[in-house]
Amino acid sequence: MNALLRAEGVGKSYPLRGRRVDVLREVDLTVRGGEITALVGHSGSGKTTLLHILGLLTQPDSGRVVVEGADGPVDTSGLGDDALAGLRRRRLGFVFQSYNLLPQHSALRNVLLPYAGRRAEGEERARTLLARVGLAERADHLPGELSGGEQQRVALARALVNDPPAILADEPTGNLDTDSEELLLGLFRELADEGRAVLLVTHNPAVSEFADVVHRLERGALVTSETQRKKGSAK
Amino acid sequence: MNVFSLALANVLALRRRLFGLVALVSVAAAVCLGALGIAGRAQGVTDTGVKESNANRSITVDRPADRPGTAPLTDRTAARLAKLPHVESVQHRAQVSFGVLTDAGDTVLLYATTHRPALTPPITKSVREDLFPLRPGEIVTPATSQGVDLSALVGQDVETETTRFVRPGEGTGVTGHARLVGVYDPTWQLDNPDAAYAADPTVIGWAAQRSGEPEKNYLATIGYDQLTVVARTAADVPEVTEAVQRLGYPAVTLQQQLDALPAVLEMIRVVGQVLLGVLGVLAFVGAVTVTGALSRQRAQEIGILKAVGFRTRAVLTMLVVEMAVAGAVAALLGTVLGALLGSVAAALLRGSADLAPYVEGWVLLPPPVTLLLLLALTVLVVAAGSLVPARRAARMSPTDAMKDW
Repeated sequence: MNALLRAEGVGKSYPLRGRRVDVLREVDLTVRGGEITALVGHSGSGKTTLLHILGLLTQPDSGRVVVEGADGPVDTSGLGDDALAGLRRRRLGFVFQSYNLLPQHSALRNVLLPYAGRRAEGEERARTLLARVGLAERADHLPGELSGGEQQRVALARALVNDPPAILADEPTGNLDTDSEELLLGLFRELADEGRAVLLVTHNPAVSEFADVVHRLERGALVTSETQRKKGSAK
Repeated sequence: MNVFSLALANVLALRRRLFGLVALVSVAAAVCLGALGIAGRAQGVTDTGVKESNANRSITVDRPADRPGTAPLTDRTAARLAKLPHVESVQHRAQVSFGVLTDAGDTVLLYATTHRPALTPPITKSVREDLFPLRPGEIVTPATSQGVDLSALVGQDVETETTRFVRPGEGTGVTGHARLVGVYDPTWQLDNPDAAYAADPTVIGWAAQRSGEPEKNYLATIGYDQLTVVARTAADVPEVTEAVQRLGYPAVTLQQQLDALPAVLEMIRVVGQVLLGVLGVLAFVGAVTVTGALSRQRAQEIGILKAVGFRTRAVLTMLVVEMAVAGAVAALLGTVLGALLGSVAAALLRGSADLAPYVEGWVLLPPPVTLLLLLALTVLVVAAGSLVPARRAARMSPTDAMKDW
């Protein structure tokens, strides 16, 4: 399976009380299409920082991130804000723990938000995606009128609106009940089966057990990498 | 998703939070438009009523007394002047002194004057509505002259005394009668302070009698003492004046005196301009404050937009368009409010007899071009005010903007 997202020797540190704290040290990580990759670790281990770096939201202090672009691999080091925004929009989809939907807009408009295709086809695509996540009837509802699980599925539909090859999710089930968690993991599995790369940051054992590949971060370093090969094992 | 449609949707969704800005700008715009509307209407009335009045288009031509080669102010001269470019009409004036004897025994020395339609005096009391043209034997005098109140004599026959030529430097008095049919405001002194208007045959007859010239020859030999050349427009006055002067006649205009607008109109115009400046400042400060506050409140939203791929410029455009739309709504509301405000103010001003002629009509707004420019300016100022805080917000990194993931 091809590598859609790659961190090579990534390092990151933050200033804290007059000295620098290394959050990530020389991390190499590859996220492949067709797999669910879980990134696990204790709080403060650097997994969210690594997700931000892989999602091109934060620049690493050292190393580089390579994204599989439409015309081949793209080394993102040195790219400007606009180029990074373009890659985020077309090649990556994000799902956040607290959903991060715009509260003043309907589910449909939230899904359409990053849409970069033809205007006339946008609404149809957004409705198709809402139907796929089981929310066809809730398209015109505001986020505040939806449950947590439903909001997270709207967020997943938004992540897919530009048909990106990679989905990055930060604690996507952190605020969900068990039923919603199972539903969402099933959707992630479908996406992986379509050939997309799915990267989940989690400290939830149920989620990590569900992944095909699990990477563990400890004190900013990738200490283990195990392949579980549990494809199709959604609970 | 299109940034403009997103901005429009945001304005709709955030209308309550934008209410303060819209209310502030629309009220400021309304006050400004109302004041400018009233000042504009008054200016318009002044332009048509004063600037383009006959008096303001008049050029007074005097006898060429010290220019022997120049023809006197006869009917032929009047016809010649009437053919000059941009001349609408030529009106004549003859003037001769006479006395009015009152019952109290006072004699008031006046100047019998032919009436020129271009320079009709302001009548304050009369026996009929339309006094002019006067009938033979009728006179109109100042309300007071030389300390004598002549207004009490309106409607009465008064005794007059004119002069008959005996020999050069000597004349004899002739007693007659005239009917005083009206008096005018004595501050009107365009035909001298003691002018008394009378019908043309009366004045010419008295003037011929005083000069010793037969009445039938008087206008051809001695002629009028003054002609009034009325230009087609106020703008033509300088050119016509020069043309008359080139013919050898002393000519002066009233235009300079009438160019000064009534002070109250000037004051309203200045107030309108000051309010316009205040509107600009209010709109700008309002936009800066509201955009800054909204950007802080919406930091997470901005972070989300950037995380899902919105470029800095797209976020900036969205925020500025939102403010521009709010500014446009405020400008339109301000126009409606301004029309209402202007109408109410005009209704109040119409209560003053002096101001009523200057506030005709019910909807007092500036002319369409000025109005459109003001509306566009309001939108621009609001958008410009939002630029700096919007730029600061748009340049935030997505991770800084979204503290709570």
